Amino acid sequence: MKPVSLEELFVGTPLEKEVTFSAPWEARAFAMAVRLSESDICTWDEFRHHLIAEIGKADKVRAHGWVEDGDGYYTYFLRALENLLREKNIVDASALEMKMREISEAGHDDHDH
Amino acid sequence: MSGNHVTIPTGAALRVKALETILEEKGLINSAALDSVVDMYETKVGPRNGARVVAKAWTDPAFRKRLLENATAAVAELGYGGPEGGHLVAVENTPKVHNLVVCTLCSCYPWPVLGLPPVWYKSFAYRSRAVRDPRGVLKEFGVEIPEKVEVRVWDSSAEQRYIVIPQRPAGTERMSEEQLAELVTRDSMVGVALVKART
Amino acid sequence: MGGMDGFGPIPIEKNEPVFHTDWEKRMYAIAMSMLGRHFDNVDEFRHALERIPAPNYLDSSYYERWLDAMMTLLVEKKKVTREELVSRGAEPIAPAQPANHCKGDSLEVRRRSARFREGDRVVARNLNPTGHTRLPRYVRGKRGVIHRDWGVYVFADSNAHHAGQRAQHVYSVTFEARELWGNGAPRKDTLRIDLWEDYLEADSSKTKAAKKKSSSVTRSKSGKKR
Repeated sequence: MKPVSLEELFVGTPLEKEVTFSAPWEARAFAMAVRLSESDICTWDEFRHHLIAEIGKADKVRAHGWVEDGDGYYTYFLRALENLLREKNIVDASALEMKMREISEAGHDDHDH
Repeated sequence: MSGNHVTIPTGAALRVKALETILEEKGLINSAALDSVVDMYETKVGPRNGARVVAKAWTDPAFRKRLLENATAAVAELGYGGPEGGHLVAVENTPKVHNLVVCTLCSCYPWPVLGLPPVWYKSFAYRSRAVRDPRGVLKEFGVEIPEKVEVRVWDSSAEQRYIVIPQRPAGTERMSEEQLAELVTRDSMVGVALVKART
Repeated sequence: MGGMDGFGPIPIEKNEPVFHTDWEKRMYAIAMSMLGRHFDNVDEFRHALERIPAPNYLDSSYYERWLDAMMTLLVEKKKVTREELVSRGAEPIAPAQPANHCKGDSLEVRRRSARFREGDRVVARNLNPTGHTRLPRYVRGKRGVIHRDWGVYVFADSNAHHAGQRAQHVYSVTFEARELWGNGAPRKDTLRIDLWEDYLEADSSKTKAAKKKSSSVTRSKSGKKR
C-alpha cells in the first residue's frame, strides 16, 4: 500500500478553501458532543476518552496498511458519541436502531416532522 | 422536514439524525443550541483570533509576558475563551527553538484561538510522524529548520492546549498590529510554517 | 443578570470580540470596565478566576466564570458587600478551600500533594495498553525530566480498573528525541508531553547520560539543590 504523504492531505490548501465540516452530519455530531459536554451529562474529557479509543482502534489497522481515510475523522467522533451515550444508559443500541427505522420510514411516507 | 424534497438520510447522517432526535425528545439537547454551536465554529471562531493574539504579543512586551505566563487569561483579555481553551499554553519560537504541536491520541487543538483543526492535523500520518520525525514533516510543509535549532514537539495528551507564537519576520517594524495580524497564518501557530513578511 | 447597574459606563471596544450570545458580550464588557476601574491588575483578576470553587468551575460556562470571579474580587476589595450583590439578584460564591477534585487547583494543594517537581528525572511507566489511553506507546519506559507541574486534574478515564481514577497532578515532561527514537534523531530535538502522575516513576538510574542531564538541570536552576 502506498504511504500517504501529508501533501495528499490538503497541505497548503488555502484557508479559504478549507471547510470546517464536509457534511452537515459532521457538524451536528460535533455540536452534540460539545453541548453534552457543557451539560451535566458528561465532561469533554469523558467524550475524549471514547474518541481516543475509537481512533486508537483505527490507528492499529492503519499502522499495518497505511490506509488513510481522509474524511473518516468524524466517523470516529460519531462512534465515540454513541459509545458514550450507551455507557451512560441514555441511548442504547436498540433505541437507536428503532429511531433510525422510524426516520427512514417516515421519510418514505413523505410525512413532515 | 416536510414538503416534496424530503431527503432521507442514510448512513452516518441517519445515525446522527436519530441520535439528535432521541436526545431532543429526552430534553437533553435542543436543535437551536446545536445550530449556534455549528455557526460559532463555522463562522466565528477561527485562526484570525490567534493571529490577533500573536500580533499583540509582537507589539506589546507586557502582553507577551502575560501570554507566556498564563495564556488562558491573556487571550481572555481579547475576549477569547470557551471550550478547549481552559488551559491554554503559548509556546514561543525563538532563534534557538522551533515549536510544533500535535495531539497523537486524537486531535486536541486550541479552539478558541485557532478554531477547529484541519484534516491533516487529525490524520494518522501527521499524528504518528510529527512526534517521530518532526523535521521530515516540516519539510513536507516546505519548512527547513537548521540543525543547530532545537525542534520541540508538544503532544497535547492532557488538558493543556498549545498555540505557537511564531517569530516576527524582519521588515515588519513599521507595521501596525492589524497589519501584522494579517501575516500570521494558522499553520504558523501550529508550528508547520514560518511567518513571512509580505513586500 | 439585572442589578449590575452602577459599575460605570460600558466601554465600546475597537476590535469587538465575537460572542456567542448578547449576554456573554455584555458580561465581557462589564468585566472589562471593572478590570479598568476596580482591579489593580490582571493578575488579581486571574487569581480570583482560579479560585472559583470546583463545582461552579466545572459547570459554568466560561463567561459565567468571569462573573463569579468579578463578584468575588469586588466583595474582597470591599467595593461592594455581599448583601448588596444578593439584593441585586446575584449569588456570590465563596472562593474554594483547597479541594481534592479541582480542574485548576490552589497553590496549597499543589505544594501539598505533588510527587514530582520541576527538574526531577522520571521514567514513564510501561503499563498495559488497554485502559491507559493517555499514555502513548512511544513514551512508555522512556526517561525524561519534569518541565512543569500543571496542577491537579480529575482523570476522566471511565475504565474502572485504572488506578488513576482520582484527582492527581499532571506534568509536562521533556524527553530528548534520541531517548525516544535512538541516536538517529537530531541531537538537540526534544518532545514535551503532558502525563498524569500515576504514569510516572522517579528515575533513579545512575547512567552517565542521566547524571549529565541531572547536573545540567541543577546548574540551570541557579544553585537550587534538590
